[in-house]
Parts: sequence; structure tokens; C-alpha cells
Amino acid sequence: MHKYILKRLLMMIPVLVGITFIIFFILNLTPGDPALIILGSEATDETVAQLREELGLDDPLLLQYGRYMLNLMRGDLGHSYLNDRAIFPSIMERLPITLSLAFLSLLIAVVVAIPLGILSATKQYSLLDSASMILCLIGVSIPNFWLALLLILLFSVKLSLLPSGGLNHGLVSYILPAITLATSGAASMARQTRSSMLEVIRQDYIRTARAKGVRKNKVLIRHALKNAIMPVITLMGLTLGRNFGGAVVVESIFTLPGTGRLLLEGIRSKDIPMVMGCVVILSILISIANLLVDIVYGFVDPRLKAEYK
Amino acid sequence: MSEPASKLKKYKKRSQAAEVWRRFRRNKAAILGLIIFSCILLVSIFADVLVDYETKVKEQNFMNRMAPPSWEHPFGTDEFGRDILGRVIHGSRLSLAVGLGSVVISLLIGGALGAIAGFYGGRLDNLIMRMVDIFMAIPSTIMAITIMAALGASTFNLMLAIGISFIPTYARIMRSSVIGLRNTEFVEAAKAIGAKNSTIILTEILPNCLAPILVQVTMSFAFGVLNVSTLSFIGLGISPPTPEWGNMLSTAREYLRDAPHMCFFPGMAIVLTILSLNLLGDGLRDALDPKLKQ
Amino acid sequence: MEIQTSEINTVLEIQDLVVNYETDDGIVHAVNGVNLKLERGRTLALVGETGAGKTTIALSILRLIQDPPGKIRGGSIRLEGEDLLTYTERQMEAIRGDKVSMIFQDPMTSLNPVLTVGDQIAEVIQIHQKVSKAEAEKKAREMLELVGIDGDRAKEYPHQFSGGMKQRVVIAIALSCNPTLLIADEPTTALDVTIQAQVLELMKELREKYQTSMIMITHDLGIVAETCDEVSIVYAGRIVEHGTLRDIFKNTKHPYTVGLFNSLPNIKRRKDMLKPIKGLMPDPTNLPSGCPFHPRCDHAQEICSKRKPLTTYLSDTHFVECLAYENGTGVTIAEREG
Repeated sequence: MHKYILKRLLMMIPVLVGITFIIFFILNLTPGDPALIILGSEATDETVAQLREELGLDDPLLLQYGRYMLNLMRGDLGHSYLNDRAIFPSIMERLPITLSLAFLSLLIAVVVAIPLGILSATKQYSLLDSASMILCLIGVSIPNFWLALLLILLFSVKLSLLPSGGLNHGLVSYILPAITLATSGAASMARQTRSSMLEVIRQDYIRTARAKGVRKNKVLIRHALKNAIMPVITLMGLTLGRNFGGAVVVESIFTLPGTGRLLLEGIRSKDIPMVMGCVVILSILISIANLLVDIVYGFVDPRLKAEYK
Repeated sequence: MSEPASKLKKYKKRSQAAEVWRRFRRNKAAILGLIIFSCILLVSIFADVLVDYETKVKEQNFMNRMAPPSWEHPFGTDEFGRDILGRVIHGSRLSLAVGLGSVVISLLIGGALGAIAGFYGGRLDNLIMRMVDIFMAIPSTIMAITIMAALGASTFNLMLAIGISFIPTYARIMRSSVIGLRNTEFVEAAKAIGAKNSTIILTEILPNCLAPILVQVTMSFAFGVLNVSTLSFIGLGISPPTPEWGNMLSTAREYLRDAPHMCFFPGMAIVLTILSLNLLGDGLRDALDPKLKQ
Repeated sequence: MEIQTSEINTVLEIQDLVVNYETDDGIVHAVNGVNLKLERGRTLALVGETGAGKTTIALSILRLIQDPPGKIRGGSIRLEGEDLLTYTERQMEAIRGDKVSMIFQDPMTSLNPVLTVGDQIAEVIQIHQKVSKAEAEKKAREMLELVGIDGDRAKEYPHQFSGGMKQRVVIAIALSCNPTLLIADEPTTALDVTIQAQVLELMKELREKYQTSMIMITHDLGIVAETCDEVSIVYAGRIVEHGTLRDIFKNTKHPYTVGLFNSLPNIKRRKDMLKPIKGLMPDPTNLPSGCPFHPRCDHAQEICSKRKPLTTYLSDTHFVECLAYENGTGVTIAEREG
């Protein structure tokens, strides 16, 4: 198992290098002179030229990229154009909020989706099945920012039950944002659980299990679910990845001081190193999420376990 | 007795299409999706006819700001007194246009890459697929945001930003279809006649890849509409005063307490568009199902 | 007193079983009034072509018919005197795997891919016997050894076994709790011929050891001759002929059964053309009137399409449902050569 994890970790590296490469070059297409942004429009030409020299902005792009990567490996993500604070610590102090949001959403999604999917599959064609599948269809079609607004309208404005933003209420502050993020993931996971279960229930080994006298519920969980869960686990990884992306919007709406919002502010103020830093960190997180998914696979499917012994 | 191979193939294709349509027709949800989406499409095409831009969309009327829905203004008015219904109708144009444009970009570039990778195989295949994997590792929202940040806001840039994030998906679909078809008899026959590789790809292989691509088109169109409204919402897409569903919602947010109706209708428009496209896509996938197993 | 003894010896008695699959496209009459009886220690073959209703009869005994659309619409199934059709689901769960076990056709898909072989055997033991997990696992290993597989392999997963070995595992599971009745639905059809022989031999040994009664569902008359004591020929959801091995093989009566035997190539008469039964199995949603076999029967007369045949007993052990054997119908069967 350890070899498997190590191998996947090593494979992550070229992917991350590729990602940083692409992002670096895209961001360097941004119009505007960074030195000018830092110094402000009143700066003289000399000071601008001097700063450009200091920051190495006139060097060929590949060289700049190389320099960036070397610094990255030392944990130095540069300094913000805006306020000259070191980027890495800035991101790190906000990261726990984004992580909490992403994982809480995933948890809510899984807890809701899997039982719903199983119930729909066992009671196929019933009212429950039709109703929940319609809900899921709407769930994948609804934009998360609109859902956020509707939730705020209902729970904050009309009912005054939940906060509409900020972290002032501790864990409760995470409720609406997490539900917002969880919705589309839950919807697609419920659908996938249902269709996987439907397929698995028809398999011969389920019939064998029943012919052994195994109780119906136990058949569902021990025999059926374990086989059906694989594609759902893939979706979980995908959902976690999308949560990191969706966090940008959700943190913005609910004014949560997370990494996503940092990214957005960086874009608005053309703070390239900040944008670069946030994207790099988020990409690393997403790759780790995918790795986690692969590890879970290994535990669930013995055929894979054997391969990677 | 035996018809020439190409004629037989075309005959089979025609009746395949009829068969697919028949199966599609039986799926009520898919038909619903088709109807809704067609309505939205028609509304956006004839937007100018339905709603006069100057009077309804741009005209401001401070006396009637943030009015809730009424007979005169079925969707109410916004913070400048403009008719929301008219703005939602006109907003559809941008959403659909960017959605379509992004699909075209992804399809052309991704499809070409996938077809080349699948057809030629070997090192070229490896190289292309590695690059595709790297692109796939970046979530589409972040990719789109980054590109918009770098290039600045314009309709074309939006199409590009959203389109680029779907290139990997189309490349993969095209590649696996091509690999599946690469060794079939009619391809071998074409090669035997001496047809050029590019001709073979265009005339023999591509028409048979249509099924999964078509399903993906509806799905990525839906995603495109979602992404353009998301980008506009956070201020990286279309900015006010041009009416666009996402930026309308962004403004509505500020007036959430005073004028809740403002956030309702543009959001419904987005949901309806995406929902109808999803229904269409699901219906297509089910109707094409045996074909997809290729 | 006499009745009691016969009840104890009669392991299974099915009377007038009717099973339908009720779908939107019509009702499939899968089983149309089946009667059969099985004594302790005996093996009954259920022979017929695909779609005749054999598997449905078997699944009905275990009440594993998929509902919807399958519904048991009539009759009784008595296991050692108790009518299983009156049992609750809980009671059935107690019986399955314990008093009645079933082996299915395709070993490749009958085992759960994500559980070890040992776990799957131990599971059935733990459900029906009050033993600890460790004891169940020990018994599981013993069962593996019994079917000719190394006990250490209990930790392995199904994909690590070949088809024949998988079927042995399935047999091990089925026999773990020493069932009174074992139902085997074409257990060797999916296996290579050489493996077939091994598995059949194994089943024979175990049956003798445990005195298990068995129902063997098959379409292969060779297997019937090797392993069974009695034979029921199933056609269109009814048993059209039943008898001992000798009755059926030497004294074949029903035209369908005759047709089955004639369909077998005869090595001594290789120059003869094969004689398949003309026509196809009847559509179970639209069964023929009168005798269900009449459209394909060489001896059919007008009365055959008008009236269903009654059960005619030719001896204590041998009965047939054919108008040719009823008195006064005027239907006769011309003597066949050979």
C-alpha cells in the first residue's frame, strides 16, 4: 500500500509543475505593468524601471518561471503587489477556513446523498424515487450563487435564523455556505448512487446472498453498497475538487475570509503573485484530494489492493 | 443483391437517426427539456422584436425603482427602474452566445487534438494526453477565472476562458471514439483505396463519433451558461449596465432586503436554461445508449 | 401413522403451483399448475429447454421471485410438511441457506467480488448457527477442504479462482449448514466438460455423505442419467411427463420427451440426420390453446388444440400429460423406429 501512495505522490509532481507552468504563462499575459501597480500611477519612470530591475520583470519569461519554482520549493510564494506582505503566510492563515468549508460541504453531501440514493434504488418508481430524482436534477442545474442568495433570503432576511455572512457565530456561520456548496455535489452523488445500486442489485451475487438467508438490509449494505460505491467515490473526489473552486464564489457571497476570497481580491487588484499563489495552493489541495480518492479505492476494491501490494 | 458499402452505410445511418429520434420521443422529460430550451432559444433570437432595447432595457425610471412584479412589469423593476423582464430576455442572448461559442471552441480544439491523438497513437498520443491531463487537473472555475483575469473582460475572452476548460473532455471523447473506430473495416477499406489520413478522419471516422459528442455538447453548453453567469456575478465577466443574468444577480444581492424580487427572475432563467439542457442531454444519452457502447 | 411416516420422508411437495410475471406488456405465464414430490435422499431432475419454467419453479421454493413483476398466484409448496408460501419473510430468511440451499448457473458472477471466499462461506454459517466468528471461520476452512480447495485460500478473493473452483466454493456455501434440500440450477453448464465431471462427482459424494435431497435443473440428458433418480420433463410451465430414470429413458411416452431424446446425436447411427423438434418454444404471454405442445407435435389431432390433457398415470412412478394416453380421445402415437 505504501508503494502505491508513494508512486501516486511522485506522479503528482509533474502534474503540479505543468499546472504552475500553464498558470504562470497565462497570468503573465495580463496587461499592465506590475511595477506601476505597486508604486502607483504617480511614480516616476526611473523608480518604475528600478523596481522592474529588482523584481526581475525584464528577464525572459522562462527565467522568471524558473525563479518562481525555486522559490516555491522553499515555501516562498513571493510578496503581494498590494501590501507587500509575504503571500505564503497570508494564504496559510486563511486556508483553514476554506478547508473547513470544503470538507463540511462534502460531509453534508455524502450524508444526504448516499442514503437518498440507496432508498431511491430500493423503492424504484415510487413517489419517493421520482421526487428525489427531480430534486437532484434541479440540484445540479442550480447555480450556487443563486442558491446562496435564496438561502440568505429565507433564513437570514425572512426568518432571521442564520447569519448571512462573516464568521462571528462560530460553527453556525458555516451552515448556509456549506449547504450551498454541498447541493450540486449531493445531487450528482445521489443520482450516481441510485444508478450504481440499481445495477448492482440485479447482479447474480446479490441473489446468492439472499439465497443464503442474509437479511435484506444486510444484503444492501454489506453486499450491494460495497460494490456500488466505487463510482460514487470518484464523484466524491470530483466534488471536493469542485468545492475548492466553488469556495471562491461562496466565500465571496458570505464574506468568509478564506483563500477563495483572497484569490478573488487578488484578481480584482491585479495582484499577480497573490493570484498565482492561491491557484498553486488550491491545485495542490485538489491533487491531494484525488490522491485520497485513489487511496480509498484501494481499500474498497480488493482487486486494486492486490495490484498495488 | 449487395449494395456498395458506402451506400449501405449511409442507409444504415439514416435509419439509425430515425431510430434514435423514436427513442428520444418516448422520453417525456427529454421532450420537456427540448421544448423549454427551444422557447429560450427563440426568445433570445427574437429578443429585439419582443422587447425594444432602448425603451425597456436601457430606460431608467427613478420613480418606479425596485417595484415588485405588476401587470406593467411582470418581473418588476430594478434599482434604476428598468424593466426586469426585458433585461432577462435580452440577457439570454449573451448567455446563449457565450455558451455556444465556448462549445464551438472546445469542440474544435479538443476534438482535433483527440482525433489526432487517437488516430496516430504512439508518442504523439502520449504527449497530447499528458497535456490534456494537466489541464484537467485545474478545476474549470479557477481556470476560467485565471484566464479572464489575464485577458480582461470581453465576450470572446469569455468564450475562450470557458471553452478552454472543456478541451480535455472533448479530446478524451474524441480520442476514445477514434481509437474504437481506427481498426474497423471501412477505415481499412479507405486506406486501401489510398485515401489521405486527413480525409479518412474527416469522412469516415468523425461521422461515427457523433453520438457521445452530441451528448457532451448539451452538457458543456449548460456548463458554459453556468460559468458565464458565475463569472459575471463575481465581476469578471460581463459588467453592468449590459444585461446579463449573472451580473443582474450580483446587483440584486445588494438590494436583497429591500427588493427580493430582483434576485428571483434572472436566477430562474439560469436554472431553466441549464435544466432544459440537462434534460436534453440525459434524453439524448438514453436514446443513443446502445450506440454509446461502441 | 402411515401418513406421518410419508410426511417425514417427503421432503418437498409442490401442488398446483402457479407463477406469473405481470408486466405492462402482458402476463407471462411462467408456471401453470405444477405438481411434484421429492423423497428424502433422492435426486429429481427438472428437464426442459430454456424458458420452460424450471428456474421459476426453483426460485419459488426459496420465494426469491422478483416481485414486481413476478407473483405466485396459487398452489402450495410444502417443505417437510410446512407450506412455505405461508411463511413470513423472516421465516424464509431462516430457511434459506439452512434447510434449502440453491446453486446458480454462472459461477463467474455468483460470488461477491469484494468479499473473501472464506467470509462468504462463514457468513452463511454465522447466520444460521449460533457460533462465534472464529468458529464460523474455522468451519468455512473445513468446507473449503471438503470441496477440494486448500483451506489457506479462504483469505483470497473470488477473482483469484478459476471457474471450476468458484463453483466449488458455491457448493461449499450451499452445503455449509447441511441443508435438507439442495437445488442446483444448471450448475455445470458454464464449465468446461472436464471440470463438469469433477463438479458432478463432488456433488454426488457430498450428497451421499449428507443424505441431501436434490433438485437438479438441467437441459442435458447426459447429466440426468449420471446423477438423478427421478425426472420431471417441464414444458410451458407444466410437468408433461414424470418418472424414474428407467421410466423416462426406456419407456419414453410424451412426444416432447421423445423429441428431446431424438435431438441427441446418436454415435451408432451417424449417418442419420438429426431430428430436431419442429417449431419454437411457445410464447409464455400467449400460450396455445389445449395442449401446449400441440403446434409442434407430429401426432397432434384436432382435439389436442381444444382440450388440455389430464394427468394419466402409467404406473406408480410414471405419469404423462398427453391426450394420446387418455382413454377415448382417439389420439394415437404411431410406433417409432429404433
